Amino acid sequence: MERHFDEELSGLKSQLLKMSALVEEAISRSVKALVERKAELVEEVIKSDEVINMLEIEIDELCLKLLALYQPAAVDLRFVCSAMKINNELERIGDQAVNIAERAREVIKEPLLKPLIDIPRMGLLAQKMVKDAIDALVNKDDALAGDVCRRDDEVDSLNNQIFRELLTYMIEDPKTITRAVELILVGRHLERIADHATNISEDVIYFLKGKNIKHHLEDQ
Amino acid sequence: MVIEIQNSKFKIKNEKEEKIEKDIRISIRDLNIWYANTRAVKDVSLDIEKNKVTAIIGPSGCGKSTLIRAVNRMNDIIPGVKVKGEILLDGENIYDEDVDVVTIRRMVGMVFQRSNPFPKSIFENVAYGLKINGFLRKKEIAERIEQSLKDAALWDEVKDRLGDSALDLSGGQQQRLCIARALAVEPEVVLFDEPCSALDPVATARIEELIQELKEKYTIVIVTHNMQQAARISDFCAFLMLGELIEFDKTDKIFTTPSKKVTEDYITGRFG
Amino acid sequence: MDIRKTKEFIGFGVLKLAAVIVLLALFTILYFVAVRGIKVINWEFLTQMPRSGMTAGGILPAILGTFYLTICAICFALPLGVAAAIYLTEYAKQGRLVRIIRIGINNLAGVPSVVFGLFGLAVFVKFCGFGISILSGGLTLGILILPTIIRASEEALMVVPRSFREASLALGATKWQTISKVVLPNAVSGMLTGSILGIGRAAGETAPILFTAVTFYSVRLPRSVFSEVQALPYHIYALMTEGTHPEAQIPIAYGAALVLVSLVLGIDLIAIIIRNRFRRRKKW
Repeated sequence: MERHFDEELSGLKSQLLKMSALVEEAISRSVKALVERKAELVEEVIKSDEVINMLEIEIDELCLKLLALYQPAAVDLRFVCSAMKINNELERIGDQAVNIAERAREVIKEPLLKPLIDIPRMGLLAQKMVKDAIDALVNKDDALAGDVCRRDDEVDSLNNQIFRELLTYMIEDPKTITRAVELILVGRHLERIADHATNISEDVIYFLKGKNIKHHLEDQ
Repeated sequence: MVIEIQNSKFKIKNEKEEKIEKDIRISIRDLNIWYANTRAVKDVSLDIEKNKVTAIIGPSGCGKSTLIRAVNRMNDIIPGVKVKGEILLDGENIYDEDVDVVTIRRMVGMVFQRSNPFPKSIFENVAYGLKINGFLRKKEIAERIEQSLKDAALWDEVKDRLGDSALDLSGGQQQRLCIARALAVEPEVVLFDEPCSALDPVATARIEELIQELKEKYTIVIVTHNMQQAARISDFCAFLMLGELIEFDKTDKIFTTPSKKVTEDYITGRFG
Repeated sequence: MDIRKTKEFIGFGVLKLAAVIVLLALFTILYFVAVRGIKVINWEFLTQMPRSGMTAGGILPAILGTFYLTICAICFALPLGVAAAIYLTEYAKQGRLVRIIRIGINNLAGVPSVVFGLFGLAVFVKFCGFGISILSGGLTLGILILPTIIRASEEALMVVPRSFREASLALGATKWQTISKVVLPNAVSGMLTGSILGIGRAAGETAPILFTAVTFYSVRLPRSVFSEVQALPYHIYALMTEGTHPEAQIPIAYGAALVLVSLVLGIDLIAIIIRNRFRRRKKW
């Protein structure tokens, strides 16, 4: 049976999609600003974050409205609650993108420390994770969501690799410390983005399966 | 830090073990009920815990009323009803041949869909159950009436007019009077058959509040077609469809993560 | 005029006319009896014995006779009828047997009253040996009104809401406690109303008592239930068909008729009062 509530739910879903598209764009632009040393992209990222923040409030209000008016249960309840959490995660990813853009603004003022290879890779990975997590939500694909969770390790190890590499630069030549630290922070921001994407995937799995897989509760 | 985590793990385990030793008051075993030739209840088995509210939900005609009426053998008065299976009340099968149905009904009280006070005074309504069960001393009757009216959260509203006709009360008050009447004979279990279906939201809220308080003393089974109501007041929830028990679990589980698709479709209103 | 309105007008007109005719007939009878009867009615007429071969004096034995017969019929038929109704509605398994019993009772109500008279003569007067007496007549009248009482009582029992019975049974009451403490108190008004209307009818019957209880002329009041009595309906009949002084007898007959009609109307009035009294109290 088609319910009026279903229309509202698909409205919520498309809002989340819109938000996710903006966030993915922000990640890609912030990394691009750093790699291609484009200062104008930094400002674009900061500006788009305002839109993301507005959207977060909108989605929050929509979720509250749906909870109050429809008192959803079971799968509907899980969807609305997951949407609230995912909304929050996306906004935090947006903030991380701004952080990366701000690092980029500092980094591009100085000469290049080393050719950037791992950071763009990491950026792409993180961006793909966000995209896949949201796709898993939209397509109700719990396998994809599980896959996103596993990819987090890849990003983590890349981050460690970047850190160790930059550490050797700093030990060799303390003058590189400022620039290296900026890059280490970028790596860290990207790693955080991947964590948020993982959280989203976990919420998606809870929505789809009703199972909480956070903090590896299952393994215990 | 590590020790703490281990402790909390330990706690989780302990809780799970406690769940196994639950205190069961009513145990329904392979229950089948026929009306003439239609089987209204099919192979239903479920355990009802002591001092808990167990809700029975399901679409109209799913057999939920028939099931609850089987627990105090009220189906006996309907001609052509056949019951097969067992209902154990504190371990004793109430359908055994040597069991006195009158005793069962005294131990298992019932509140009906439409409030049905007798056309007598408020006092006489509550006193009725006591009198037919052989309570004759006036003082004792008066005390019991006061207590049951208090338990039913009606005392303050009627204490000055116990002699008035029960039919002068409002719908919600009448239903609480019926609850008081059922409580007066001190049953162990109280069955509610859609007790709020004829009441406005405020009166409904009062009855719901009351049911929550009553579970301290009684074991409660409630049939409701209002799912929000089942969610609000019950600890356990049984979902029935076409006479079959589809799912029986803790209410929070049923309303967040039901394990059957049919249950989910029903409680999210996708049914049909 | 609109055709539908015309039809409605004609329809209502016919119905109204029917009602008017019925009322007219009733009032004509009452007027006729009252005008002719009132002339002879006085205190003496109601309290004296008949004199001079029924051409003078009062009708006391006939009034008392009707009274005794009615009381006897009530004492017999009311408990039996109510008990039968309780059995049929509350206890008996609703099946073929009960249906047959119900059909039997309804047919009993359709039997001509003179047949009851013959039955009374055969069974009570002859077989039981009660002779022509108040007892025989009363029992015969009782059987005559039994179907009315049973049907009235059954209906009164059936309108007591099932929810009352359920509430009582759910409190641990036995079936008998439920019937005696909840069902009967709520059915009693309906039972009484129906029964009294039946009794009113019995008081006016002639045929059933014709062979079983009445005597044409008696100068003594009945001494026991085994005495013959005079009764108003039969008294009227006798005055009009027997005797040698019609000019003196006919006015007395009208007087007796007025008394009988008043009696029956009085009984019906009591029934109406009881019904209204209880109806005001019940709200379910």
